[in-house]
Amino acid sequence: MKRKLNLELLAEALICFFLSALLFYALISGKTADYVHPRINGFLWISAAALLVISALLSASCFSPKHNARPSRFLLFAVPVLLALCIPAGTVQSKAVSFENTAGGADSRQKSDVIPDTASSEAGKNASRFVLPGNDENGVITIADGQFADWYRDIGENMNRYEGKTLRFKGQVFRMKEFAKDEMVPVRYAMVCCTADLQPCGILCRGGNSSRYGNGAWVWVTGKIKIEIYENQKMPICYVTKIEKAEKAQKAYIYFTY
Amino acid sequence: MTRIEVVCGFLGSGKTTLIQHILKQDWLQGCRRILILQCEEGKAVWDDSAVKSHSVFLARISSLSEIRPELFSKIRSQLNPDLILVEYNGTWPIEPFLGVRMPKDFRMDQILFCADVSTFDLYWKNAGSLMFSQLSNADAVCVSRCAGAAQTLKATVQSVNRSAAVCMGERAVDRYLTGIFNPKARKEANKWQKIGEAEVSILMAGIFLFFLFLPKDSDLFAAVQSIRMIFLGILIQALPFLLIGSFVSALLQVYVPDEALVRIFTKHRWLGFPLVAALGLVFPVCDCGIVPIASRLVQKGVPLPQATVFLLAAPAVNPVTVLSTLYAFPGQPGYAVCRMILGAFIALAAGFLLSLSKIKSEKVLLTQAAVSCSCACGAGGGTPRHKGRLGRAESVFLAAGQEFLGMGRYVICGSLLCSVVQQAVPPSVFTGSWSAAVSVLLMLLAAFFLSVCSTSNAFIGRSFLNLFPSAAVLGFLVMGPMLDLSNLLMLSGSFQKKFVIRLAAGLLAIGLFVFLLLSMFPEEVPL
Repeated sequence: MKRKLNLELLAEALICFFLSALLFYALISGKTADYVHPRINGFLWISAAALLVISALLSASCFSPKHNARPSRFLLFAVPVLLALCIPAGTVQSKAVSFENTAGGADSRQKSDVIPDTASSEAGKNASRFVLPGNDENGVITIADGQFADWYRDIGENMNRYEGKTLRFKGQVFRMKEFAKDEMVPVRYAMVCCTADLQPCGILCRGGNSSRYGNGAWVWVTGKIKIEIYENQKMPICYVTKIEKAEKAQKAYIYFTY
Repeated sequence: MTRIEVVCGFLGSGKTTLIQHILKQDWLQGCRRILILQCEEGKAVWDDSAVKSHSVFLARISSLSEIRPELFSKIRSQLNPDLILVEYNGTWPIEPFLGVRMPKDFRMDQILFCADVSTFDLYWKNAGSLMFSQLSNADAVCVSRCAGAAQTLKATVQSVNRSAAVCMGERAVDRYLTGIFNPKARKEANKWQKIGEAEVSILMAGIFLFFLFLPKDSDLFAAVQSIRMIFLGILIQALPFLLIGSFVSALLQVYVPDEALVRIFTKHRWLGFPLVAALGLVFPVCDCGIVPIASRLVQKGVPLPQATVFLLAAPAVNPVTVLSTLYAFPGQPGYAVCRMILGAFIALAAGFLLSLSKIKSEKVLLTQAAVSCSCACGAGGGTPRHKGRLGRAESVFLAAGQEFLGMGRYVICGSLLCSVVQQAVPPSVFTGSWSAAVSVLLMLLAAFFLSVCSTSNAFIGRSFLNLFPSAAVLGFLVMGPMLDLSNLLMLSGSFQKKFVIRLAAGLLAIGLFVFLLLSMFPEEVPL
């Protein structure tokens, strides 16, 4: 009985169907945002629809039997599925090509910034894009989760605007080997394309009682911004007055759009 | 139990001779009764002396409609043979036979396709679609007389049916026949196959359990989790682009006639190459989408150098890449400009070298013969059920789907390796002060392993900026989409491995040369 179907085509049709179903599920539940930039969601919707059509057509034509069908050659498609099922979704360790590789660099800070400081001279045109939120009664400017990307870009481009201001922002504690004891960066991970290019973004913080918080802990940091030269580079540094434990941000990553 | 062995192939290809040869062998002693079903009046005359040692029966079938379930149940009740040898008519498609419901203990065993080197090419050109059905279902191709150009035969068989064993010459045929008829050898082979399958499944289960029960707080678990996230991210991100590429490739296959396509690419002798390089501007597709398109171009007869230029230049000059490079290096448009120019230049250089070397595309392609077959029979066997316009649209979807899945396997391999390397290679490997030559070489190596996709490539490249001179980073940007692992794996799906390795080596040499030259003049690079 089993030879009455073309098992290879059947396997292909099933794979296309499951891929399409998975894509629809991930898109509807918003899980794709954990893996890729929302910019390609449109492409993914179209792909899911096209795969559904393909699987319907393939399954319609799999009734012509094939003798030497080897559906096992599609076993490879089980690898991502198994991996996804066995290992729960989690975070990407900051990895080889981003924050940690600083041992040799004089301008080590640059690595963690998606926007290098060389851009500051030219990027004036973007200055008007980000409107600083108003101060509260204590003169503290709070950066909301959704504003982090724009704020981060803005402080890289027009750091003088922030000199002497007191900011409050949220991030995950991130430390490098070269940091002094009271130094750390509250970072958000920025995605540009997919999880392969995640980069930690944040500004250096000094002082406060930050050593209580382990790497990766979510914190609210309040502090005063000063422009200083750090490792041969002009950059904003936050002198912390208060650190408190924070809730995890709703979106795991921040996204830069272009 | 009754085994059915089918011998097929065109008239005069040696089917009768092969059956008589089988009957002469000693290993058939164990068979009580053998039935030969002849669907064709063979050229060779039956030699009764060959069959006297067994009780052999001969039956003739004159039309395809006689092959029905009733025929086999009749055979079972009247004769109940151990072995049925079917000499199948070369002009009948084999699917109706395969679709016949057999009596309980009848089992279709092997399909042997007989071919004669001297007539194969002619038959294939004129009656390819007739032959396709039998050839694509064959377990082995038996060529008893192999004088002449056996290479094209081999290539054709490979392109239609990659899993078939090709037996050239009588000794190879004998060896194959021993494997399937000799009970001892058969038992042994079965045993080893079972052992192999058991080993693979134990290994898989072991890996599965290992990951399932990995302690959740260990460093290894965190690393595996990162690999998983990166791997899935790359896959999801590549999926739409790969699908777009497959659709373009399928559209080219179904709608654009070969000659028109070839004309576009070869119209101008010297202007042709730059035009092809500029063609990438209109394909807003990542590099993984370009590979299926380029492979299709070669299959449709576009000369290899032109197709290679397209393959290499498109990921460097397409708008998505340029935009992402501009964004990754804000305020430094020099990188995007250099990436475009150098990408196009290296692609042109590779194309030029290829056209000098005069490598014929037939020699390096795995699937060229399928072209001569009508487009209705896609290599995977999915055939549209409608005629006319609807049928064409349907075959676009079918071909795109099969192309997508075929290439998808290579993307899975490539991105798995890439994500493992990204996690496993510690960044400290790259730190240190390197000479210009070493840093360029290191960056090109990184391009091979780390370049996921021409879009995210720019951002990964940027993070190398403070470890390496800008010329080396530029090398990573430019060579990444050309050299990276998953691309080369995908290419090896449609080209011979030797060619792919040569291409990669050539590109590496050109890249080294160009970027070493660039790093000699660090001040003159307007970044």
